[in-house]
Amino acid sequence: MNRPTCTRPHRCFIVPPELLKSLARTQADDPALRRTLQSTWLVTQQLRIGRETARLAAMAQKTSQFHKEAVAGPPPADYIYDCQQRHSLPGKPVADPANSPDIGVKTVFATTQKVADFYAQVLARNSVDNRGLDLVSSLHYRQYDNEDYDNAFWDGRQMVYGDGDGKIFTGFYNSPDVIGHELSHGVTQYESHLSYDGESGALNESFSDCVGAVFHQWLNGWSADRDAGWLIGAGIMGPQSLARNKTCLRDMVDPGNAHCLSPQPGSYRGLDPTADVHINSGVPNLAFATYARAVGGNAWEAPMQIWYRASTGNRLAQNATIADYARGTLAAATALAVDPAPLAAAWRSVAVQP
Amino acid sequence: MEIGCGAAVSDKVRIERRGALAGPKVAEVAIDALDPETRASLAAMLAQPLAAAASAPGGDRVWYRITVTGSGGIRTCDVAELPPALRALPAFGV
Repeated sequence: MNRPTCTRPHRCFIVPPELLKSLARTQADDPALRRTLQSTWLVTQQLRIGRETARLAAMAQKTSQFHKEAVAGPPPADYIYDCQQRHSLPGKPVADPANSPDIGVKTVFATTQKVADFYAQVLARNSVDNRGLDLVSSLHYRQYDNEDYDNAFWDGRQMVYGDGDGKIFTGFYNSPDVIGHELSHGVTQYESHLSYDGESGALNESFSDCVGAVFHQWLNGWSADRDAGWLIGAGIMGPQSLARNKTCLRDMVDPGNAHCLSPQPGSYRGLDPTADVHINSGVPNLAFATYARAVGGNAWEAPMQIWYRASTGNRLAQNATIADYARGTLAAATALAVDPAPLAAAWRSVAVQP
Repeated sequence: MEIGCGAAVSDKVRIERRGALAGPKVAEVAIDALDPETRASLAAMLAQPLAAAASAPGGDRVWYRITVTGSGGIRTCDVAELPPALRALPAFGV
């Protein structure tokens, strides 16, 4: 697998941590030795966590300088793992995902490749890190035994998908926009370091929604006036949700609509600073959809290029506000020689003064 | 009878499931409706310093904000894990 190079010194362990843990369990007749082994194991685990955190930070810092153009080289490989309803990641490797009898495996494999194609063809980007990082996806994940998992997430290194509960949600891999959304959290990780709370967290979420929705439109050849192209999570809604006319998680054109399982504010005036990042993202989402529909055509053209430029290359501060972001999109439009007037109007329509 | 940190049995606990792709969910329950084991777990969580549950790397990772309101004032903690009895409360529904 093609992994980024880490230049910082590694902490290596001669005795594997799992062996330390196992030894500690078996030394019941020597409490002092057992305590020592347990203590060593705990310290080892803390070092591993610290090492991983530092590795991610170093990767993000190092790769952000490459944002301007995709690095030449092979496209990312696409690896699929099966968690088999357990929480251990990445799970069991799937040898031939393209021909798997598991429809979820085939779907994630094919759609993840399409997202990589979208990054390359539309954004001139080589994978989430712009350096060809291999894409790893784990399916059939459960956080706890015997509990359905109603979520999908990017864990800093890979995508993880639950199967849903079969009632409210189906498998979280059943919406192309969700797959694009999760992968794009990886792009944000490498390109902007936005904090995952408050307005900056809402911007982080919104960028993933924007890329996910536009990827879905691109995949289907839909222009911006197609309403279905602005729904997030339409494919993952289960029978109970659909029976109650909950047809999506979010609607970027009409974020407060009753057909949304998780309605959002459509104006900055309705923003609750303490709300979850998936709520306040409705404001920048609506600004993007409004702008894309105002200019017409394909959203992956000027609108996506502007949003991508504003969101990448460390242009955003860690605690950026929605107004900061609006100004960033105007600067991006100017840099791309795009008329900023309809963009400014879109921001004003959601009560954001750029 | 107290569960710790000044929270009494008549107090309410509010649990917010946050961070999930599908959006947040909220539930509220009286502490005296919880079994002793869950109450003990809750007391232990509230006694911990505020953890950065929301700052783990990545996106859409689930975490929980617990707020206890009552005679002892308002106490809040953010955690990545919950005991099963509390975890089931803010389940998604339609």
